[in-house]
Amino acid sequence: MTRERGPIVLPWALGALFIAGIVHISSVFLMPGFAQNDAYVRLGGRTRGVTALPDPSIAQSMPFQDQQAEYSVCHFDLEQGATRVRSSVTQDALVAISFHDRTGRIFYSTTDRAALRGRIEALLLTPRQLDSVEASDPEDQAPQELRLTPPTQTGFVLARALIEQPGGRAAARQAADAVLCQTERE
Amino acid sequence: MSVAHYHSVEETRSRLGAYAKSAIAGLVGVALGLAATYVATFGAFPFGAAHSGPWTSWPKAGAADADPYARAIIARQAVAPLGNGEGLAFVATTDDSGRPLDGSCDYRIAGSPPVARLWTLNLFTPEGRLLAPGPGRRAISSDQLLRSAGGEFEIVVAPSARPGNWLSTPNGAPFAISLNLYDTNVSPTQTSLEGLTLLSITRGDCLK
Repeated sequence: MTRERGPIVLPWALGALFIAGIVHISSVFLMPGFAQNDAYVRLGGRTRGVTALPDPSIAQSMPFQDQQAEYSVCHFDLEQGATRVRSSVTQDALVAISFHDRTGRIFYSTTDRAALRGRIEALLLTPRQLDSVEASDPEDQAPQELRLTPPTQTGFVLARALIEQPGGRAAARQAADAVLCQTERE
Repeated sequence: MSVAHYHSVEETRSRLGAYAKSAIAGLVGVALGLAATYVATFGAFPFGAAHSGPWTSWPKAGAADADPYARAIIARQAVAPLGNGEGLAFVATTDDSGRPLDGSCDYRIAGSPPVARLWTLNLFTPEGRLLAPGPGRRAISSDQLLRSAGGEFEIVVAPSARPGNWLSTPNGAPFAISLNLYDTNVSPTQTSLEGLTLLSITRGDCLK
């Protein structure tokens, strides 16, 4: 009996490792769905208007948050309707916006310079809402906004306004506050 | 008869033993798997790092095709990474010669970063949290720098106040420096940043 014991442990250990591998891989894939305190929850935000995040040099909302920026966040819920996101034209701050799905993954991001006419204008829609918007588009005119179909029905939009001279933090705060998030009724 | 009886007891015993071993192997497997996930999603992104000197970036973390580990970390740690369309973020936890950044030392940051509309430097704990409040500033952006007539600049990261561009470190504590390039011409899809020169971090004197 004792002679057999050593080699007999090996298949059990291999079995345990095999199960460990399956559990590890599936838990990594499932984590975005199960994480309770993800950015969507922790950053706050709502579907009507934008919410200002606290001054990042005093209170931190996320790891490695740039203290030279002012932030705003809003939620979208496409069940309530398509969501329009718009930044205002500003000379005093660099405005960058990232669009996140419910798990925090970025599905699109841009800055005001990369956008048309110095401002970001995006419409978040479900594929069905996109169809109905496209159906009512004028034939001879290109859409005036960027149209995005998020991978999840809810999610959040994070705007960063970088502090530039001479306006400083106040101008950046103003630029971050001026980002518009608005649900369009169907 | 007695021999057969002996066999069936032995059989039952070995079958029970097999069940017990399966259960133990299963439980050990589940525990190991969950522990591996816990560890793998605790710190920095495990894959897709691009290096340039002491600086590390995870360009894929800000993209829609982030790998499953990055997505798990983003969800668990509530990270909102810089999107690829916004810019590129780097972190350094060592100086140019690979020594961990130490709050009791002076560092000189110089050079010219890649073309970006704006870039910022921030000091954090190595985990990315705010440093305890102290004298002086903990962050600076490219358009706030004092520069020489030729446009060169030097940023001193030190525990005690310096003239010029000074970022204050927590005396004695380890720290990290983040470098964010906004509206940059560095392509985030590059997995190798070889040939790219970012800011150099040179260690000077240390307090004892």
